[in-house]
Amino acid sequence: MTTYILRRLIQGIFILMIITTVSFGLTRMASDPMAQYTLGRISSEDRARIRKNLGLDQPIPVQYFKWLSLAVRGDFGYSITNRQPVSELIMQRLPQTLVLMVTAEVVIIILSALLGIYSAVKQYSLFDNVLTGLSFVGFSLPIFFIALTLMFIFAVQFKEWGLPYLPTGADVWKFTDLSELVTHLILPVASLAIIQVAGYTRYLRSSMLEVLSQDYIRTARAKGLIERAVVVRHALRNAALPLVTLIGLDAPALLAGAIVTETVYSWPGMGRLFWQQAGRGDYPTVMAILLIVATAVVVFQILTDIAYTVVDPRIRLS
Amino acid sequence: MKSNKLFALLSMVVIAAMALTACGAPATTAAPAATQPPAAATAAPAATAVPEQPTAVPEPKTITIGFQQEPTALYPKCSNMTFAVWVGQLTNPGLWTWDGNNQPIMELAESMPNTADGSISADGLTYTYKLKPGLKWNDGEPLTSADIKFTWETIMDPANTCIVDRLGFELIESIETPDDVTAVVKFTEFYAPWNNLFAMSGNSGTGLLPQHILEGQILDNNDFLRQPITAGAYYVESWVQGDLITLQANDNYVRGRPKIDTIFIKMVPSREALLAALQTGDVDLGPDFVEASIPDLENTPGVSAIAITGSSFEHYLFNLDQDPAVGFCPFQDVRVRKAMILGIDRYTTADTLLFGKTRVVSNLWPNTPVENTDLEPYPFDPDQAKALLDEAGYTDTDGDGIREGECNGETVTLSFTHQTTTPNQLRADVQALAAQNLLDIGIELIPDNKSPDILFAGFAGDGPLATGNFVLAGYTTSFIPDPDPLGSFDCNQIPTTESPDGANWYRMCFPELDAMMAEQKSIADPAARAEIFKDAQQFMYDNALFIPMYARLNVLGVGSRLTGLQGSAFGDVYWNVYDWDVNP
Repeated sequence: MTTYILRRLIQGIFILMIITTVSFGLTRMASDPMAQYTLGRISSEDRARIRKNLGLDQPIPVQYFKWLSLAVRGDFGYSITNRQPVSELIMQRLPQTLVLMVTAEVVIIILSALLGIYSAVKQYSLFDNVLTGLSFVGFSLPIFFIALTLMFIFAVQFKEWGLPYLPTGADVWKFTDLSELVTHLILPVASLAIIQVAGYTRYLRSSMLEVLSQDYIRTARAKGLIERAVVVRHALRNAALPLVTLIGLDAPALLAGAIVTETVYSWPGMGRLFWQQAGRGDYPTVMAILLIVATAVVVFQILTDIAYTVVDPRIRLS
Repeated sequence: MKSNKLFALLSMVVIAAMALTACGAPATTAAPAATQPPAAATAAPAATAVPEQPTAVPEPKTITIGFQQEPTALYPKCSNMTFAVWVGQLTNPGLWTWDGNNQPIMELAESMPNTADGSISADGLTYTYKLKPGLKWNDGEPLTSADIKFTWETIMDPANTCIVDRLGFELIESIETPDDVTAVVKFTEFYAPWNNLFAMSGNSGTGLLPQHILEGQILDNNDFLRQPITAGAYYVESWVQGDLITLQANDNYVRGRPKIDTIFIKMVPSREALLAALQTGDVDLGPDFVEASIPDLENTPGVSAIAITGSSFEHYLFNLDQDPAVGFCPFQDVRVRKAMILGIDRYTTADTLLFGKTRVVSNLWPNTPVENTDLEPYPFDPDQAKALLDEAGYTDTDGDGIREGECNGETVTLSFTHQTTTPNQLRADVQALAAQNLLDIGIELIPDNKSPDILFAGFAGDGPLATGNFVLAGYTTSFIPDPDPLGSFDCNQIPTTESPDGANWYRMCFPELDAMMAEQKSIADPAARAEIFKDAQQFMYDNALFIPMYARLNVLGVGSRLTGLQGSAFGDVYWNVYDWDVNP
């Protein structure tokens, strides 16, 4: 197992090298940091000075190796728009993003586990049919539509109707105040959950159905075990394997944040930082976030593989 | 059980996230300045503040402004974002600013230097600035003429790479400070826009820098960029990046403490969310709406739209490069250019797509003191346009509805792309209308829109405008508060590999225009200078050098609580912030 993990880690480093090269090229080609200096009251002399100061007068490969030589030492350099360390910008956003995304992920896992199992156990019941219908609706709706609709109903209209209402997120509030944090989490978490739960429930339902039709489940029932024990202890254990894969794939997104949800609910997270700085051509910040997320993908995939052996003892890594 | 382990792991992640939050948040919230009264420093939002003795302590007045983009720094010279300039107007307006009628209004200066009292020397090279007596920074330290000199030195110090532009400052030879309120500024050569220095307008500005704080420091990555010491109506109490800037009323402000105690600037990136927040009262002012938002704002209960016809203008520009490999040959013919202006129904655009709230313009200096108001915008006259195209030799010979003609010995079809920014519904609608109008006179316009960071990329970044890789383009700009276009029309400013940073994206070269632009820079008398600008506008008008579309609107969404806001054509929303108040 140790050899396996080491091999995967070494592979991971190569993958990361390729990812940084490609994403640096794409980032630098996709937006020019000088774009924001081309209009307005800036003389051509000032433009030339800024270009030189930002090192943009050098060829892109040179810029890449300069960036890489610092990045491998864990130094993400300075944001070219804010002139402050990139690590500072990221550390300001990381806690907010983790709180939003981890809360959403926990809600998503619990909800989809409950709904998926129930739906499988009561296959073709009214509940199952309704849920299946709703899943497809939730799965097909764009997130900005869900987020704005929820805001319009629960923040704007509820206030108008004199009902207890939820905040729009554009109000002034303190992240450290737990009760404010909870009320501000509800709508963005609900927006994220509606889409994800829809998908996860389908996965869990079908893998539960598959497991429930197997011989050992019949044996368990024949032993006279109560239904709850059959479903939870025997069936869920095996049916959860696909869910572990999904969570493993989703985990890096916990760091990356959610661009649309964070934008609609004015949530100061990583997704918004990435989007904003990408638009401003701030490649040091964009590259740092890409590298962090890429590293998380590599690490979480190894962790997922290890988690398989825990969930399913038949799997051995070698 | 294994599932218990999974649950424990998950719980640890949540706890770790909470712990990170607890560590992270205080670090990003700067402590309030020591000299502020406790009442102001602890001001809470009005909605949540519950005064115990309402008669004894008046509830602090607060408003929230929703910014759609976050400034990169709070000293505008280190950020070229309008949003940074707006924070500058609120906190650090400098010696003077511009009022609702675009007239200079004194802030820290006693008066503006002038030739009448000799504070401008006869040769126009020496300016004597007088500060008001007894000025203080928000930390209580005296503000003196030494700070003016220090500001200039800091801007010119090459170590401060964050400084975006040094326009005019590089022409200052020396600044002498004979006493605490006097600064004698000597220029190496005449600089017509001298009154833009050390002052703050709606789109650019230089607030003064405090020598007692910044002496011996560089600005890059300085905490000063996040929490500056300033001398305006408000000061920055804290900036939680990505989220909130908290401004507190400055007791040391030259006009006295402003009426509103606390201004929160909340980052609300989504325009839809900002509209919802205006409706719920979470936000009192959205200063950066677009024309297309006007009906939404007007239809939202409790929200009103203020639309001020601005000095920014939307225009379509021809690629006028004389090299047929770069420019579009037919555009070298003034008749083709004029036909296109006559052929686009700009009036319907202004009346319907812009709700009749703005006007078609004839020139590039609308609603400014140098505008040549004698110039009537060309009418919408498709018949005259067709006649001009016929006369220029462009006719539809193959019956496909598009005109062809000979240009520079080659057959050219009047079919080309039009590049403007996306996503932008208004621009797309105007473009569609223009394309239809032009098709009616036999010209095909093919939309080829790009995101702003691609369209406006520099020469080295392969930007289509900078490199001349366009035929017809469209965007908004302005020449305010000083009318100098900074070389935008000069022959030697056409961007090339040798001089990639040139400002002339029109790629035009007219020696007459060059001469006029050179002359206006050498004239001190504003009236005489305006005459040259009016002549230049006449020249541009006669030669149909671009298609001026319409004056842009500065659209503000205002909630029901806020009063006193006036705005201006130059976009100076905050010039009278000291007069703003909230309804009880």
